[in-house]
Amino acid sequence: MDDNTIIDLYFERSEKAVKESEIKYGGICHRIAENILHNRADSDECVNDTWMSAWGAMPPERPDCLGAFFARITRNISISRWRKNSAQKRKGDEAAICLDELNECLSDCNGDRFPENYEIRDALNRFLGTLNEKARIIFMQRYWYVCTIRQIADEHSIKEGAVKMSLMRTRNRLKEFLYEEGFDI
Amino acid sequence: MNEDNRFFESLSDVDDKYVIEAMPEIKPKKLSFKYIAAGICAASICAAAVGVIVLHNTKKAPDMPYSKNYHYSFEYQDENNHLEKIKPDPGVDGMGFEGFWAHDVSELLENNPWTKECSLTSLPVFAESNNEIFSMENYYSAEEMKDRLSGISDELGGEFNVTNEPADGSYIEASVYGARLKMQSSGQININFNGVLNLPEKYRISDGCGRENAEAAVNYLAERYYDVLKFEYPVPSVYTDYDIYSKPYTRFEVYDKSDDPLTAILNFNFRKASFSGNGDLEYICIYDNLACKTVVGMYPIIDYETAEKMLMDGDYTTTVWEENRLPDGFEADDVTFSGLYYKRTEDYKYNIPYYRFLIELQNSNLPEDMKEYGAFYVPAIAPEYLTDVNTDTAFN
Repeated sequence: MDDNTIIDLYFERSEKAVKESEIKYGGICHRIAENILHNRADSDECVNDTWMSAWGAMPPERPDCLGAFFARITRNISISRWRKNSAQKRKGDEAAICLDELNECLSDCNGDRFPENYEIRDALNRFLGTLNEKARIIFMQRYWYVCTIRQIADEHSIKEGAVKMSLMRTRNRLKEFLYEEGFDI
Repeated sequence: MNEDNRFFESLSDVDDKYVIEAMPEIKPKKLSFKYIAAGICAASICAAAVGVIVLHNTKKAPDMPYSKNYHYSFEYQDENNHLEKIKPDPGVDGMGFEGFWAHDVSELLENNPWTKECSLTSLPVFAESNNEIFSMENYYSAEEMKDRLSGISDELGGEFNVTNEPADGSYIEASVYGARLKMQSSGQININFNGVLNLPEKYRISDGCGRENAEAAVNYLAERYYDVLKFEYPVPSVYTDYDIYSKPYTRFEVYDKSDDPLTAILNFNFRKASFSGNGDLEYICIYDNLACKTVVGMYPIIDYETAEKMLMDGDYTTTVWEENRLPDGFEADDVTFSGLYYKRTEDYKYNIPYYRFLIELQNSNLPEDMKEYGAFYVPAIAPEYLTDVNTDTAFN
Protein backbone atom coordinates (compact mmCIF):
# COMPACT_ATOMS: atom_id res chain seq x y z
CA MET A 1 0.00 0.00 0.00
CA ASP A 2 1.47 3.39 -0.91
CA ASP A 3 2.26 5.95 1.76
CA ASN A 4 -0.44 8.44 0.83
CA THR A 5 -3.10 5.76 1.13
CA ILE A 6 -1.81 4.79 4.55
CA ILE A 7 -1.86 8.44 5.64
CA ASP A 8 -5.42 8.74 4.35
CA LEU A 9 -6.38 5.83 6.61
CA TYR A 10 -5.06 7.76 9.60
CA PHE A 11 -7.06 10.80 8.55
CA GLU A 12 -10.16 8.60 8.23
CA ARG A 13 -9.38 7.21 11.73
CA SER A 14 -9.46 3.71 10.30
CA GLU A 15 -7.92 0.96 12.43
CA LYS A 16 -6.48 -0.43 9.21
CA ALA A 17 -4.02 2.46 9.34
CA VAL A 18 -1.97 0.84 12.07
CA LYS A 19 -2.16 -2.59 10.50
CA GLU A 20 -0.92 -1.29 7.16
CA SER A 21 1.81 0.73 8.88
CA GLU A 22 3.00 -2.38 10.65
CA ILE A 23 2.99 -4.39 7.45
CA LYS A 24 5.02 -1.83 5.52
CA TYR A 25 7.26 -0.35 8.18
CA GLY A 26 7.04 -2.69 11.13
CA GLY A 27 10.21 -4.48 10.10
CA ILE A 28 12.42 -1.44 10.12
CA CYS A 29 10.85 -0.05 13.29
CA HIS A 30 11.41 -3.32 15.10
CA ARG A 31 14.99 -3.36 13.85
CA ILE A 32 15.68 0.13 15.16
CA ALA A 33 14.14 -0.58 18.55
CA GLU A 34 15.92 -3.91 18.93
CA ASN A 35 19.25 -2.41 17.91
CA ILE A 36 18.94 0.17 20.65
CA LEU A 37 17.28 -1.84 23.38
CA HIS A 38 18.37 -5.46 22.79
CA ASN A 39 15.20 -6.59 24.44
CA ARG A 40 12.31 -8.00 22.42
CA ALA A 41 9.61 -7.09 24.89
CA ASP A 42 10.79 -3.48 25.28
CA SER A 43 11.26 -3.20 21.54
CA ASP A 44 7.75 -4.39 20.84
CA GLU A 45 6.37 -1.88 23.32
CA CYS A 46 8.35 0.91 21.66
CA VAL A 47 7.00 -0.04 18.26
CA ASN A 48 3.49 -0.18 19.67
CA ASP A 49 4.08 3.29 21.12
CA THR A 50 5.22 4.40 17.68
CA TRP A 51 1.83 3.53 16.21
CA MET A 52 0.13 5.26 19.11
CA SER A 53 2.18 8.41 18.51
CA ALA A 54 1.49 8.27 14.81
CA TRP A 55 -2.22 7.89 15.51
CA GLY A 56 -2.05 11.01 17.66
CA ALA A 57 0.01 12.98 15.14
CA MET A 58 -2.01 12.24 11.99
CA PRO A 59 -4.07 14.32 11.50
CA PRO A 60 -3.15 17.11 11.37
CA GLU A 61 0.37 16.15 10.40
CA ARG A 62 0.88 14.76 6.91
CA PRO A 63 4.49 13.58 6.67
CA ASP A 64 6.33 13.98 3.39
CA CYS A 65 8.17 10.74 4.04
CA LEU A 66 6.24 8.21 6.05
CA GLY A 67 9.09 5.73 6.48
CA ALA A 68 11.39 8.35 7.94
CA PHE A 69 8.51 9.65 10.08
CA PHE A 70 7.92 6.26 11.70
CA ALA A 71 11.62 5.46 11.96
CA ARG A 72 12.29 8.75 13.71
CA ILE A 73 9.50 8.24 16.24
CA THR A 74 10.73 4.73 17.00
CA ARG A 75 14.31 5.93 17.39
CA ASN A 76 13.31 8.68 19.79
CA ILE A 77 11.05 6.46 21.87
CA SER A 78 13.69 3.74 21.99
CA ILE A 79 16.41 6.15 23.07
CA SER A 80 14.17 7.45 25.86
CA ARG A 81 13.53 3.91 27.00
CA TRP A 82 17.22 3.11 26.75
CA ARG A 83 18.12 6.12 28.91
CA LYS A 84 15.68 4.94 31.55
CA ASN A 85 16.90 1.36 31.41
CA SER A 86 20.62 1.80 31.42
CA ALA A 87 22.28 3.58 34.26
CA GLN A 88 25.54 2.22 33.07
CA LYS A 89 26.89 0.67 29.96
CA ARG A 90 26.27 -3.03 29.73
CA LYS A 91 28.18 -5.48 27.65
CA GLY A 92 26.68 -5.55 24.19
CA ASP A 93 24.85 -2.26 24.71
CA GLU A 94 25.15 -1.08 21.14
CA ALA A 95 23.61 2.32 21.78
CA ALA A 96 26.17 3.05 24.50
CA ILE A 97 29.00 1.95 22.23
CA CYS A 98 27.74 4.23 19.46
CA LEU A 99 27.52 7.07 21.93
CA ASP A 100 31.11 6.57 23.02
CA GLU A 101 32.29 6.48 19.41
CA LEU A 102 30.45 9.70 18.58
CA ASN A 103 31.72 11.42 21.69
CA GLU A 104 35.25 10.98 20.38
CA CYS A 105 34.35 13.65 17.82
CA LEU A 106 33.28 16.16 20.38
CA SER A 107 36.14 16.54 22.81
CA ASP A 108 38.24 19.14 21.01
CA CYS A 109 35.59 21.60 19.99
CA ASN A 110 36.46 25.20 20.77
CA GLY A 111 33.20 27.04 21.02
CA ASP A 112 32.15 28.95 24.07
CA ARG A 113 28.47 28.16 24.14
CA PHE A 114 26.35 25.09 23.89
CA PRO A 115 24.53 25.03 20.57
CA GLU A 116 20.76 24.75 20.25
CA ASN A 117 19.33 21.47 19.04
CA TYR A 118 18.36 22.98 15.71
CA GLU A 119 21.93 24.17 15.22
CA ILE A 120 23.22 20.65 15.82
CA ARG A 121 20.64 19.32 13.37
CA ASP A 122 21.56 21.86 10.71
CA ALA A 123 25.26 21.21 11.18
CA LEU A 124 24.74 17.48 10.86
CA ASN A 125 22.73 17.99 7.68
CA ARG A 126 25.53 20.08 6.23
CA PHE A 127 28.11 17.55 7.28
CA LEU A 128 26.21 14.61 5.82
CA GLY A 129 25.93 16.51 2.55
CA THR A 130 29.73 16.62 2.31
CA LEU A 131 30.12 12.83 2.47
CA ASN A 132 30.09 10.40 -0.40
CA GLU A 133 27.02 8.22 -0.50
CA LYS A 134 28.56 5.03 0.82
CA ALA A 135 30.32 6.69 3.75
CA ARG A 136 27.14 8.56 4.62
CA ILE A 137 25.01 5.42 4.53
CA ILE A 138 27.44 3.52 6.71
CA PHE A 139 27.59 6.43 9.16
CA MET A 140 23.78 6.71 9.33
CA GLN A 141 23.32 2.96 9.71
CA ARG A 142 25.75 2.96 12.59
CA TYR A 143 24.65 6.05 14.48
CA TRP A 144 21.08 6.61 13.37
CA TYR A 145 19.89 3.02 13.03
CA VAL A 146 22.39 1.74 15.67
CA CYS A 147 23.22 -1.26 13.50
CA THR A 148 26.11 -3.44 14.59
CA ILE A 149 29.32 -3.47 12.59
CA ARG A 150 28.42 -6.99 11.51
CA GLN A 151 24.98 -5.99 10.25
CA ILE A 152 26.47 -3.14 8.23
CA ALA A 153 29.17 -5.37 6.78
CA ASP A 154 26.59 -7.97 5.74
CA GLU A 155 24.33 -5.33 4.21
CA HIS A 156 27.11 -4.00 2.02
CA SER A 157 28.89 -7.31 1.48
CA ILE A 158 32.14 -5.90 2.84
CA LYS A 159 34.38 -6.91 5.71
CA GLU A 160 33.85 -5.63 9.22
CA GLY A 161 37.29 -4.03 9.08
CA ALA A 162 36.22 -1.96 6.11
CA VAL A 163 33.16 -0.75 8.02
CA LYS A 164 35.27 0.23 11.02
CA MET A 165 37.72 2.06 8.79
CA SER A 166 34.94 3.98 7.05
CA LEU A 167 33.40 4.97 10.37
CA MET A 168 36.72 6.08 11.83
CA ARG A 169 37.45 8.28 8.85
CA THR A 170 33.96 9.76 8.92
CA ARG A 171 34.21 10.49 12.65
CA ASN A 172 37.54 12.21 12.09
CA ARG A 173 35.99 14.34 9.36
CA LEU A 174 33.07 15.14 11.66
CA LYS A 175 35.49 16.21 14.38
CA GLU A 176 37.26 18.59 11.98
CA PHE A 177 33.93 19.86 10.67
CA LEU A 178 32.58 20.65 14.13
CA TYR A 179 35.83 22.35 15.11
CA GLU A 180 35.71 24.55 12.03
CA GLU A 181 32.05 25.33 12.68
CA GLY A 182 32.95 26.47 16.18
CA PHE A 183 30.83 24.00 18.08
CA ASP A 184 31.24 23.23 21.73
CA ILE A 185 29.23 20.05 22.45
CA MET B 1 18.89 16.21 28.34
CA ASN B 2 22.32 14.76 29.11
CA GLU B 3 24.82 16.80 27.05
CA ASP B 4 26.70 13.65 26.09
CA ASN B 5 23.54 12.30 24.53
CA ARG B 6 22.41 15.44 22.76
CA PHE B 7 24.47 14.85 19.70
CA PHE B 8 23.37 11.22 19.44
CA GLU B 9 19.74 12.19 19.97
CA SER B 10 19.86 15.21 17.64
CA LEU B 11 20.78 12.84 14.83
CA SER B 12 17.10 11.85 14.83
CA ASP B 13 16.23 15.20 13.27
CA VAL B 14 18.44 15.09 10.19
CA ASP B 15 16.80 15.29 6.78
CA ASP B 16 14.42 12.51 5.79
CA LYS B 17 16.40 11.89 2.63
CA TYR B 18 19.40 10.73 4.64
CA VAL B 19 17.22 8.50 6.82
CA ILE B 20 15.61 6.84 3.83
CA GLU B 21 18.84 6.54 1.90
CA ALA B 22 20.41 4.55 4.73
CA MET B 23 17.36 2.47 5.72
CA PRO B 24 18.67 -1.09 6.12
CA GLU B 25 17.17 -3.88 4.10
CA ILE B 26 14.97 -6.03 6.32
CA LYS B 27 15.38 -9.58 5.07
CA PRO B 28 12.46 -11.98 5.64
CA LYS B 29 13.11 -14.60 8.29
CA LYS B 30 13.55 -18.10 7.02
CA LEU B 31 11.63 -21.01 8.51
CA SER B 32 12.94 -24.35 7.44
CA PHE B 33 10.55 -27.01 6.40
CA LYS B 34 12.16 -30.20 5.27
CA TYR B 35 11.55 -30.29 1.54
CA ILE B 36 11.86 -33.30 -0.69
CA ALA B 37 11.12 -33.31 -4.40
CA ALA B 38 12.13 -36.51 -6.13
CA GLY B 39 15.42 -36.39 -4.30
CA ILE B 40 16.51 -33.09 -5.80
CA CYS B 41 17.22 -30.01 -3.75
CA ALA B 42 15.86 -28.69 -0.51
CA ALA B 43 13.55 -25.71 -0.53
CA SER B 44 13.03 -23.36 2.35
CA ILE B 45 10.17 -21.27 3.50
CA CYS B 46 10.81 -17.56 3.53
CA ALA B 47 8.84 -15.70 6.10
CA ALA B 48 8.50 -12.07 6.88
CA ALA B 49 7.80 -11.13 10.46
CA VAL B 50 4.62 -9.09 10.67
CA GLY B 51 2.77 -8.05 13.79
CA VAL B 52 -0.80 -7.02 14.17
CA ILE B 53 -1.44 -4.26 16.65
CA VAL B 54 -4.70 -3.75 18.49
CA LEU B 55 -5.14 -0.04 19.00
CA HIS B 56 -6.98 -0.19 22.29
CA ASN B 57 -4.69 -2.67 23.98
CA THR B 58 -0.94 -2.70 23.70
CA LYS B 59 0.28 -6.16 24.49
CA LYS B 60 3.67 -7.29 25.59
CA ALA B 61 4.33 -9.65 22.74
CA PRO B 62 5.94 -12.96 23.56
CA ASP B 63 9.52 -13.38 22.44
CA MET B 64 9.42 -16.87 20.95
CA PRO B 65 10.21 -17.02 17.25
CA TYR B 66 6.69 -18.01 16.28
CA SER B 67 5.17 -15.15 18.16
CA LYS B 68 5.04 -13.19 14.95
CA ASN B 69 2.75 -13.81 12.04
CA TYR B 70 4.86 -15.52 9.42
CA HIS B 71 4.12 -15.22 5.78
CA TYR B 72 4.92 -18.51 4.19
CA SER B 73 6.33 -18.73 0.72
CA PHE B 74 8.36 -21.40 -0.93
CA GLU B 75 11.55 -21.19 -2.95
CA TYR B 76 10.89 -23.87 -5.45
CA GLN B 77 14.19 -25.23 -6.75
CA ASP B 78 13.18 -28.37 -8.56
CA GLU B 79 14.78 -27.77 -11.95
CA ASN B 80 12.87 -30.62 -13.54
CA ASN B 81 9.64 -29.17 -12.16
CA HIS B 82 8.65 -32.65 -11.18
CA LEU B 83 5.48 -33.06 -9.18
CA GLU B 84 4.29 -36.55 -8.40
CA LYS B 85 0.73 -37.33 -9.33
CA ILE B 86 -1.43 -37.84 -6.30
CA LYS B 87 -4.28 -40.22 -5.67
CA PRO B 88 -6.63 -37.79 -3.96
CA ASP B 89 -9.19 -39.98 -2.18
CA PRO B 90 -9.45 -38.63 1.34
CA GLY B 91 -8.91 -41.06 4.15
CA VAL B 92 -11.95 -42.27 6.03
CA ASP B 93 -11.74 -42.18 9.78
CA GLY B 94 -13.92 -44.64 11.61
CA MET B 95 -17.22 -46.08 10.54
CA GLY B 96 -20.18 -44.36 8.94
CA PHE B 97 -19.99 -41.16 7.00
CA GLU B 98 -18.93 -37.63 7.70
CA GLY B 99 -22.23 -36.05 8.59
CA PHE B 100 -23.47 -33.47 11.05
CA TRP B 101 -26.71 -32.60 12.74
CA ALA B 102 -27.54 -28.96 13.32
CA HIS B 103 -30.50 -26.60 13.40
CA ASP B 104 -28.89 -24.64 10.61
CA VAL B 105 -25.70 -25.05 8.58
CA SER B 106 -24.36 -21.80 10.01
CA GLU B 107 -23.74 -23.62 13.31
CA LEU B 108 -21.21 -25.83 11.52
CA LEU B 109 -19.06 -23.09 9.97
CA GLU B 110 -15.69 -22.68 11.70
CA ASN B 111 -14.43 -19.33 10.44
CA ASN B 112 -12.20 -20.99 7.85
CA PRO B 113 -10.13 -18.19 6.33
CA TRP B 114 -10.38 -19.49 2.74
CA THR B 115 -12.91 -17.39 0.84
CA LYS B 116 -14.41 -17.83 -2.59
CA GLU B 117 -12.34 -14.87 -3.73
CA CYS B 118 -9.00 -16.25 -2.58
CA SER B 119 -6.43 -15.63 -5.29
CA LEU B 120 -3.77 -18.21 -4.42
CA THR B 121 -2.86 -20.38 -7.40
CA SER B 122 -0.81 -23.04 -5.66
CA LEU B 123 -0.63 -24.71 -2.28
CA PRO B 124 1.85 -26.99 -0.56
CA VAL B 125 1.27 -30.71 -0.37
CA PHE B 126 2.72 -32.37 2.70
CA ALA B 127 3.93 -35.87 3.30
CA GLU B 128 1.74 -37.64 5.79
CA SER B 129 3.79 -37.91 8.94
CA ASN B 130 3.24 -41.56 9.72
CA ASN B 131 4.08 -42.73 6.23
CA GLU B 132 6.70 -45.43 5.83
CA ILE B 133 8.63 -43.52 3.19
CA PHE B 134 8.84 -40.23 5.03
CA SER B 135 9.64 -41.48 8.47
CA MET B 136 8.74 -39.26 11.36
CA GLU B 137 11.63 -38.05 13.43
CA ASN B 138 11.36 -36.20 16.68
CA TYR B 139 11.04 -32.61 15.61
CA TYR B 140 11.52 -30.81 18.92
CA SER B 141 14.43 -31.88 21.08
CA ALA B 142 14.01 -32.62 24.77
CA GLU B 143 15.68 -29.31 25.64
CA GLU B 144 13.37 -27.36 23.33
CA MET B 145 10.34 -29.06 24.81
CA LYS B 146 11.52 -28.31 28.33
CA ASP B 147 12.09 -24.68 27.38
CA ARG B 148 8.60 -24.38 25.99
CA LEU B 149 6.96 -26.04 28.97
CA SER B 150 9.08 -24.01 31.35
CA GLY B 151 7.85 -20.87 29.62
CA ILE B 152 4.27 -22.02 30.00
CA SER B 153 4.91 -22.72 33.68
CA ASP B 154 6.18 -19.18 34.13
CA GLU B 155 3.03 -17.84 32.52
CA LEU B 156 0.86 -20.02 34.75
CA GLY B 157 2.76 -18.67 37.72
CA GLY B 158 4.23 -21.85 39.11
CA GLU B 159 7.45 -23.77 39.52
CA PHE B 160 8.32 -26.09 36.66
CA ASN B 161 9.11 -29.75 37.44
CA VAL B 162 9.79 -32.43 34.85
CA THR B 163 7.95 -35.57 35.88
CA ASN B 164 8.57 -37.85 32.91
CA GLU B 165 11.23 -37.79 30.18
CA PRO B 166 11.35 -40.99 28.09
CA ALA B 167 14.68 -41.96 26.57
CA ASP B 168 13.33 -41.87 23.03
CA GLY B 169 12.64 -38.16 23.33
CA SER B 170 9.06 -38.48 22.15
CA TYR B 171 7.56 -36.29 24.86
CA ILE B 172 8.14 -34.45 28.11
CA GLU B 173 5.71 -34.39 31.02
CA ALA B 174 5.90 -31.77 33.70
CA SER B 175 3.94 -30.36 36.54
CA VAL B 176 3.32 -26.85 37.69
CA TYR B 177 1.16 -25.79 40.61
CA GLY B 178 -2.40 -26.25 39.44
CA ALA B 179 -1.66 -28.05 36.16
CA ARG B 180 -0.02 -30.98 34.41
CA LEU B 181 1.79 -30.29 31.16
CA LYS B 182 2.78 -32.55 28.33
CA MET B 183 4.56 -31.69 25.11
CA GLN B 184 5.12 -34.15 22.31
CA SER B 185 8.08 -33.87 20.02
CA SER B 186 5.70 -33.18 17.14
CA GLY B 187 4.74 -29.92 18.82
CA GLN B 188 1.42 -30.76 20.46
CA ILE B 189 1.05 -29.41 23.97
CA ASN B 190 -1.56 -30.49 26.52
CA ILE B 191 -2.31 -28.48 29.62
CA ASN B 192 -4.49 -30.28 32.12
CA PHE B 193 -5.67 -28.07 34.96
CA ASN B 194 -5.88 -30.22 38.04
CA GLY B 195 -9.58 -30.00 38.62
CA VAL B 196 -11.09 -27.01 36.85
CA LEU B 197 -10.26 -23.38 36.41
CA ASN B 198 -13.30 -21.27 37.23
CA LEU B 199 -14.32 -18.90 34.46
CA PRO B 200 -16.47 -15.77 34.63
CA GLU B 201 -20.13 -16.56 34.00
CA LYS B 202 -20.27 -14.90 30.58
CA TYR B 203 -17.19 -16.77 29.37
CA ARG B 204 -18.03 -20.30 30.42
CA ILE B 205 -17.28 -22.92 27.77
CA SER B 206 -20.62 -24.69 27.73
CA ASP B 207 -21.91 -26.87 24.93
CA GLY B 208 -24.70 -25.23 23.00
CA CYS B 209 -24.07 -21.76 24.39
CA GLY B 210 -24.45 -20.20 20.95
CA ARG B 211 -21.88 -18.85 18.52
CA GLU B 212 -21.70 -15.36 20.01
CA ASN B 213 -21.07 -16.64 23.53
CA ALA B 214 -18.67 -19.30 22.29
CA GLU B 215 -16.58 -16.76 20.38
CA ALA B 216 -16.60 -14.40 23.34
CA ALA B 217 -15.35 -17.23 25.57
CA VAL B 218 -12.59 -18.11 23.11
CA ASN B 219 -11.55 -14.48 22.78
CA TYR B 220 -11.39 -14.20 26.55
CA LEU B 221 -9.31 -17.35 26.92
CA ALA B 222 -7.03 -16.45 24.00
CA GLU B 223 -6.39 -13.09 25.65
CA ARG B 224 -5.87 -14.62 29.10
CA TYR B 225 -3.47 -17.26 27.78
CA TYR B 226 -1.90 -15.12 25.08
CA ASP B 227 1.62 -15.75 26.33
CA VAL B 228 0.94 -19.48 26.59
CA LEU B 229 -0.50 -19.92 23.12
CA LYS B 230 1.99 -17.58 21.46
CA PHE B 231 -0.51 -16.83 18.67
CA GLU B 232 0.08 -13.30 17.47
CA TYR B 233 -3.39 -12.81 16.06
CA PRO B 234 -5.74 -15.36 17.67
CA VAL B 235 -9.12 -15.73 15.99
CA PRO B 236 -11.97 -17.95 17.26
CA SER B 237 -12.93 -21.06 15.32
CA VAL B 238 -16.07 -22.46 16.93
CA TYR B 239 -18.81 -24.77 15.75
CA THR B 240 -21.61 -26.85 17.23
CA ASP B 241 -23.18 -30.08 16.07
CA TYR B 242 -25.63 -32.42 17.77
CA ASP B 243 -25.82 -36.10 18.59
CA ILE B 244 -28.77 -38.41 17.98
CA TYR B 245 -30.35 -37.18 21.23
CA SER B 246 -30.10 -33.56 20.03
CA LYS B 247 -27.42 -32.91 22.62
CA PRO B 248 -25.10 -30.14 21.43
CA TYR B 249 -21.33 -30.42 21.28
CA THR B 250 -19.43 -27.18 20.81
CA ARG B 251 -15.77 -26.93 19.80
CA PHE B 252 -13.99 -23.96 21.35
CA GLU B 253 -10.94 -23.45 19.18
CA VAL B 254 -8.64 -20.62 18.18
CA TYR B 255 -6.06 -20.27 15.42
CA ASP B 256 -3.36 -17.79 14.53
CA LYS B 257 -4.72 -15.80 11.60
CA SER B 258 -2.70 -13.66 9.23
CA ASP B 259 -3.38 -11.19 6.46
CA ASP B 260 -1.38 -13.50 4.20
CA PRO B 261 -3.87 -16.06 2.84
CA LEU B 262 -1.34 -18.90 2.66
CA THR B 263 -0.26 -18.40 6.26
CA ALA B 264 -3.86 -18.10 7.39
CA ILE B 265 -5.02 -21.32 5.75
CA LEU B 266 -2.01 -23.31 6.92
CA ASN B 267 -2.45 -22.05 10.46
CA PHE B 268 -6.17 -22.84 10.38
CA ASN B 269 -5.46 -26.41 9.36
CA PHE B 270 -2.34 -27.15 11.38
CA ARG B 271 -1.81 -24.63 14.19
CA LYS B 272 -4.73 -24.36 16.54
CA ALA B 273 -5.55 -24.46 20.20
CA SER B 274 -8.66 -25.86 21.80
CA PHE B 275 -10.24 -25.13 25.14
CA SER B 276 -12.39 -27.76 26.79
CA GLY B 277 -14.25 -28.30 29.99
CA ASN B 278 -17.75 -28.46 31.32
CA GLY B 279 -18.40 -24.78 31.71
CA ASP B 280 -15.14 -24.14 33.49
CA LEU B 281 -11.76 -24.74 31.88
CA GLU B 282 -10.21 -28.18 32.23
CA TYR B 283 -7.86 -28.52 29.28
CA ILE B 284 -5.96 -26.49 26.77
CA CYS B 285 -4.51 -28.31 23.80
CA ILE B 286 -2.13 -26.53 21.45
CA TYR B 287 -1.56 -28.15 18.08
CA ASP B 288 1.45 -27.14 16.08
CA ASN B 289 1.53 -29.73 13.35
CA LEU B 290 3.09 -27.41 10.82
CA ALA B 291 6.59 -27.35 12.24
CA CYS B 292 7.27 -31.01 11.58
CA LYS B 293 5.59 -31.26 8.21
CA THR B 294 7.59 -32.29 5.17
CA VAL B 295 6.69 -30.49 1.95
CA VAL B 296 6.66 -32.66 -1.16
CA GLY B 297 5.78 -29.90 -3.59
CA MET B 298 3.93 -26.73 -4.36
CA TYR B 299 0.97 -27.85 -6.47
CA PRO B 300 -1.15 -25.68 -8.77
CA ILE B 301 -4.74 -25.53 -7.59
CA ILE B 302 -8.15 -24.88 -9.11
CA ASP B 303 -10.13 -21.84 -8.10
CA TYR B 304 -13.42 -21.82 -6.21
CA GLU B 305 -15.58 -21.46 -9.31
CA THR B 306 -13.99 -24.51 -10.88
CA ALA B 307 -14.39 -26.50 -7.68
CA GLU B 308 -18.04 -25.53 -7.39
CA LYS B 309 -18.67 -26.56 -11.00
CA MET B 310 -16.97 -29.89 -10.39
CA LEU B 311 -19.19 -30.41 -7.36
CA MET B 312 -22.36 -29.67 -9.31
CA ASP B 313 -21.14 -31.96 -12.14
CA GLY B 314 -20.72 -34.80 -9.67
CA ASP B 315 -16.92 -34.74 -9.58
CA TYR B 316 -16.62 -34.88 -5.82
CA THR B 317 -15.60 -37.31 -3.13
CA THR B 318 -17.83 -38.08 -0.21
CA THR B 319 -18.41 -40.70 2.42
CA VAL B 320 -22.15 -39.99 2.46
CA TRP B 321 -24.14 -43.09 1.61
CA GLU B 322 -26.11 -43.03 -1.58
CA GLU B 323 -29.41 -43.46 0.18
CA ASN B 324 -28.81 -40.41 2.32
CA ARG B 325 -28.19 -38.09 -0.57
CA LEU B 326 -31.08 -36.13 -2.01
CA PRO B 327 -32.77 -38.37 -4.62
CA ASP B 328 -32.79 -35.75 -7.37
CA GLY B 329 -29.28 -34.56 -6.70
CA PHE B 330 -28.72 -31.15 -5.21
CA GLU B 331 -29.13 -27.58 -6.31
CA ALA B 332 -26.80 -24.71 -5.63
CA ASP B 333 -29.07 -23.56 -2.79
CA ASP B 334 -28.48 -26.86 -0.98
CA VAL B 335 -24.74 -26.27 -0.93
CA THR B 336 -22.75 -24.33 1.63
CA PHE B 337 -19.06 -23.77 1.08
CA SER B 338 -17.30 -24.32 4.38
CA GLY B 339 -13.71 -23.61 3.39
CA LEU B 340 -10.47 -25.25 2.38
CA TYR B 341 -9.32 -28.18 4.48
CA TYR B 342 -6.25 -30.38 4.47
CA LYS B 343 -6.90 -34.10 4.81
CA ARG B 344 -4.70 -37.12 4.52
CA THR B 345 -5.14 -39.24 1.43
CA GLU B 346 -6.48 -42.76 1.71
CA ASP B 347 -3.10 -44.29 0.86
CA TYR B 348 -1.59 -42.45 3.83
CA LYS B 349 1.05 -40.85 1.63
CA TYR B 350 0.00 -37.23 1.58
CA ASN B 351 -1.85 -34.44 3.28
CA ILE B 352 -3.53 -32.39 0.55
CA PRO B 353 -6.00 -29.50 0.28
CA TYR B 354 -9.68 -29.96 -0.56
CA TYR B 355 -12.58 -27.61 -1.09
CA ARG B 356 -15.19 -28.70 1.43
CA PHE B 357 -18.90 -28.29 0.95
CA LEU B 358 -21.73 -29.06 3.34
CA ILE B 359 -24.88 -30.31 1.64
CA GLU B 360 -28.22 -30.95 3.30
CA LEU B 361 -29.21 -34.62 3.25
CA GLN B 362 -32.47 -36.46 3.50
CA ASN B 363 -33.13 -38.25 6.76
CA SER B 364 -36.62 -39.12 7.92
CA ASN B 365 -35.45 -39.93 11.43
CA LEU B 366 -34.42 -36.45 12.43
CA PRO B 367 -36.05 -34.57 15.31
CA GLU B 368 -38.39 -31.88 14.06
CA ASP B 369 -36.07 -28.92 14.25
CA MET B 370 -32.89 -30.68 13.18
CA LYS B 371 -31.21 -31.03 9.78
CA GLU B 372 -28.47 -33.34 8.59
CA TYR B 373 -25.54 -32.24 6.48
CA GLY B 374 -22.89 -34.27 4.73
CA ALA B 375 -19.35 -33.27 3.82
CA PHE B 376 -18.44 -33.34 0.14
CA TYR B 377 -14.90 -32.75 -1.03
CA VAL B 378 -13.39 -31.57 -4.29
CA PRO B 379 -9.58 -31.87 -4.44
CA ALA B 380 -8.07 -28.42 -4.75
CA ILE B 381 -5.07 -29.73 -6.70
CA ALA B 382 -5.32 -29.17 -10.44
CA PRO B 383 -6.59 -32.34 -12.19
CA GLU B 384 -3.45 -32.84 -14.27
CA TYR B 385 -1.61 -33.64 -11.03
CA LEU B 386 -4.14 -36.23 -9.88
CA THR B 387 -4.42 -39.90 -10.69
CA ASP B 388 -6.87 -42.74 -10.07
CA VAL B 389 -9.58 -40.41 -8.92
CA ASN B 390 -12.34 -42.37 -7.18
CA THR B 391 -15.35 -40.22 -6.47
CA ASP B 392 -17.16 -42.48 -4.07
CA THR B 393 -15.45 -43.55 -0.89
CA ALA B 394 -18.66 -44.21 1.01
CA PHE B 395 -18.21 -46.91 3.59
CA ASN B 396 -20.19 -49.95 2.70
